[in-house]
Amino acid sequence: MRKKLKMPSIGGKTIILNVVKYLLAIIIAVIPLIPVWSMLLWLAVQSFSGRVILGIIPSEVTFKNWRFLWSPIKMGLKEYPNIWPVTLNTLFLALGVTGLVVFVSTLGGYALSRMEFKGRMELMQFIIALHAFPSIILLIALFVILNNLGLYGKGYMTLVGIILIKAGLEIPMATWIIKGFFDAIPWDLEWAALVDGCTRWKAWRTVILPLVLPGIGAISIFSFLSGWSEFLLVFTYVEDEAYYTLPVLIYHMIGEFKFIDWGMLAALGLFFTIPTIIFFSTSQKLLLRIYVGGIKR
Amino acid sequence: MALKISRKMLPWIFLAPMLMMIIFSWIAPVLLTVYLGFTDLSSKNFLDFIRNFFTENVHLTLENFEKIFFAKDPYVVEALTITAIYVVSVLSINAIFALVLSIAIAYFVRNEIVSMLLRVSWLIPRIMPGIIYALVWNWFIDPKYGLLNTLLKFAGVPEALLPESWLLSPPYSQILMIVVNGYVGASFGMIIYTAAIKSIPTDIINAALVDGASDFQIARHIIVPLLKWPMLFVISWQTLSLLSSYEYILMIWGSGGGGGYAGIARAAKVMVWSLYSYSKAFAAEEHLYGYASALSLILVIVGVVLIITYFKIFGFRRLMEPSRIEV
Amino acid sequence: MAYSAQIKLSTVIPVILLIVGIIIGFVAGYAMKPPVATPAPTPTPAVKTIKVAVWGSGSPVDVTRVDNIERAASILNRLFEAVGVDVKIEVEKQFFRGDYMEKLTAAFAAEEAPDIIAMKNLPVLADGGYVIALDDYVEKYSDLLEDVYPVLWKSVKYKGKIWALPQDTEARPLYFRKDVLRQLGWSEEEIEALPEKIKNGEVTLLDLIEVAKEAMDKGLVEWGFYHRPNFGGTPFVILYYQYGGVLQDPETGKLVFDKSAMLKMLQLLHRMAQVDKVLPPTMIGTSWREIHAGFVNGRVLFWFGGTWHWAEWQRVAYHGELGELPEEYEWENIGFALVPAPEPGLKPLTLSSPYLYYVTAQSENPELAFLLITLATSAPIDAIHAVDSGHLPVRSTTVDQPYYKQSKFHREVAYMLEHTSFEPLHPKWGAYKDAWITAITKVEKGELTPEEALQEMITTLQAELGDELVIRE
Repeated sequence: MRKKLKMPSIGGKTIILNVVKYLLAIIIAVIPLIPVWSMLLWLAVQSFSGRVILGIIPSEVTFKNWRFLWSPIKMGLKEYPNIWPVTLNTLFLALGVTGLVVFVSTLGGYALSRMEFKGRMELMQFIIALHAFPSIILLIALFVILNNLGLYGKGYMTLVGIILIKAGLEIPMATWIIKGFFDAIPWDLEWAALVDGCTRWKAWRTVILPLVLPGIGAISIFSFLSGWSEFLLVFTYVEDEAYYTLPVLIYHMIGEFKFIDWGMLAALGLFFTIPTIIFFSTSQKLLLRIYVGGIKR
Repeated sequence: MALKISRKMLPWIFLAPMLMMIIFSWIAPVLLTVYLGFTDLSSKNFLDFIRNFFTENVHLTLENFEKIFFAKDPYVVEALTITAIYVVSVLSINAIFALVLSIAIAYFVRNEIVSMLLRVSWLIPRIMPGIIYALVWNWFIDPKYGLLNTLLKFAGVPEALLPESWLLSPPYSQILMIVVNGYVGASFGMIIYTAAIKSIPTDIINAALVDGASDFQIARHIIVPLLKWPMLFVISWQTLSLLSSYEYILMIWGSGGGGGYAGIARAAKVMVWSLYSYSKAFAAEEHLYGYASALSLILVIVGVVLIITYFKIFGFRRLMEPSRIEV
Repeated sequence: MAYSAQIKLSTVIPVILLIVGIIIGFVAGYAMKPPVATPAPTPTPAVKTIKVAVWGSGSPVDVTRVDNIERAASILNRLFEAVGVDVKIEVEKQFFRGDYMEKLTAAFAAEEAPDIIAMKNLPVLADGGYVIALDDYVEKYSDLLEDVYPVLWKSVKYKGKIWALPQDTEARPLYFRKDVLRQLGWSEEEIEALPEKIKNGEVTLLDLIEVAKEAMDKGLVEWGFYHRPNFGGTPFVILYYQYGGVLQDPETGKLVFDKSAMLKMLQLLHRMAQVDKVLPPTMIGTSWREIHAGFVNGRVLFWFGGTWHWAEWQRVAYHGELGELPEEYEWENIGFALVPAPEPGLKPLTLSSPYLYYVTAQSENPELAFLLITLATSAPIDAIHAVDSGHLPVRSTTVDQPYYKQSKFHREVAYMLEHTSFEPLHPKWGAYKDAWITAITKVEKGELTPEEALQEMITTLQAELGDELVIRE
């Protein structure tokens, strides 16, 4: 429709402007991506190469770098656990963080957006102000607290403890995002449902929830990622190899960059990265709705 | 009566889980750090401290702050300068470059699939797990094996301008530090801005098009003004994030292993304040938890001052609703 | 509503795929595993099991650091069995790829610390109360420890007590390319005599710089010298010692900064990187991959490496065509010597940084733990670790072990332990190293002159170390 409207004004100037426009778009949005793409390409090519490659041309195509998918990994004399239980642990951790963040921050965000109570403004200010506390400060103190709580070496309980902490760190930001989604839902909509004879719960479920689903999606993405790539806490507090997660396993593969099996490292890195990229590609639309909510004004 | 109380209580029931988790993950550590900043806690007395927070082996002292404020630690001034360069440069990528980028992706490129592909690509640095991101950067900048120098030569950069080592030679090392973090930060700005651009009512833009405005004029006179608040939000939020971010620097400059990365990061002039604090706590052999806490308390003070300033300048209500479009 | 439902489905797909993958993996994993025999019920329920946990770290070939404890335990177990004592020692091993200090602290806090740890970092462990002094046990079992190289006891003494047993050690030789020397016109005899001449001080580093220049001028190599990309001791500490520097006062235990030795050491590196240009000015921070590939492929003439690299080149494919080097290739093309005297009149030297076995403060059976580490370092077991991981033995009798004797490389480097030195044992040594590597980086790049770097280093060290530092002219 817009094109039709523009039809009469098409002239040399417009064409030049269009060319300039796309040129600009390429310079700004495409060229800086070359490093990112070539890095991914390198990971992919390296993971199928028998030798370390210069640049991005493969040599000696092989699948042996991916052998961890079907057999345990052996480095030197040390055998590492099978990758699938480790992936399962990672998934447990990531989904645990996601679930907790979604549950807690949706409740909190709803209250902040929809309920009147004393100290509401101050609480909101406070939640933003938490961002002023850098994570580095928390690291040392969390280390003290966790040691004091005896989180070390409790198997799945340790992972649950880590979920609690990671979720706690994500919650201020998530609450704030989700609150934006609640804000964007007009009161009338909720009222209308209530007038139609829905119970409050049903109104919530059928009217409100679908409208904040994109918001829930958005915070899920961030919290999933933070759980998926958590390293330090798992490395420090998990004693038994049976409860390792992927970042810890990869750390054991990389070590101190001696004896690197670059091909397998690339394959592992890709294995670790691909789920997040797929996850994002399919759900990135949700991010477009951050703070904006479901309804156009 | 009972109903009234429950009315009053209801919000707090909803908020309770959130508050509890915030207390556990944020408030307790912060309070503890304040205490630690005034102690000489290190690996020498750490085990005693875990058993008893008020053990006699941990001494209360002001020495940590003396070291910082009276420049007894000669590195404080340099770390401050580097942090300032780092925050300001990455911030300009995050806030200004990301704005241009978002207009290009979300408005100039009309093809939905191309636009989507670009968005996902720009998100890759953020969603790629940190160690892998650092690993591929280490490959990319390698003067022999990596592509960076080849690409730059291909783009016409004279060889004399290329450093022998991107890791070591300032200002190249600092450029690297900024770019590595810039890629990650740009996507944050992009998420906020594209969301805001997509929510601009189409009739406004169409009306301008009918009036014969070019896309550039629309970007300049309609989109940018509407993005004022999102931009202020991105700036204020990202300043605070950057002040405390050190992970990527640590992973890229520390990946050689074998210790001494703190010395190398210093020589490369990429030791930002938060990394300095981290290295005092976790990398130095003696683990100076007390001094590191004092160092990070300085960051807290800076952060709180900044937050208060932002509240004052931008107005709290606006900050609360960062990308609500005001038409 | 339809919109959100659709989004949900597409986000769920990767998760489903992943789960399916996991299930397939599990099934495949079990299908390929030989059926695990259900553990037979313990034969005699009266057997008392003592659990001993051991932690260690290193590269993948260093797992013998924890495995050898198991070997030691099996000796004791057979002993118990033979005399009919119903006790069985069970070893729980954990092996890491790098520093595990935080994890150790966490384990201590949870009262679940291992019994034995293999680590360096002695001052911190001793000061922090992580490990116990072993003097009494060393005395009690002195007959089992007579053959520990006397020089190694230095590396476990701190504040007048013995805190550990040396687990392994190594030397940091200067490797050289025989093939390049041949191309320079050296005869086989001259090449074979080089290590001996270096040992006698007839050939100095200055001479080798000239050789490197010649090789570079003729286009035989890209660089004359490579050294480590990070601190790691060699060759910096070695050069400083060679110039007469001292790092630790034996009386007070304080760290020492010897200005003239430090300056000479920095000047030498400056000369190599900036004047004679035989060393890359950006050596610090170069990737390990490039360093090894450069030397193994003959693009570099001299490499300040470690004894363990000999084994590493045989296991990691650094060579462009050959991949993993056969040992014959190494003998044909690579030689090794002590780090030569920097100039005439000084001494050749090497450096050892022994790995140590400790008994922790939370061990319930400290004496048993001590016996295990004593046995784990005894000659036959010591030989296994030394040969398999490319380290040097800690016992003088190990060199007579058949397993050890079959390794030509180990026979030939053993003499280096007579010319070795150690890094200081001090909790602030880390800060000292940081300041030092900063100075080295800047001097090699030409950013600072050696004099300026020296001054900067002194300022930093004085601030960080305070009165723990003694500055000598």
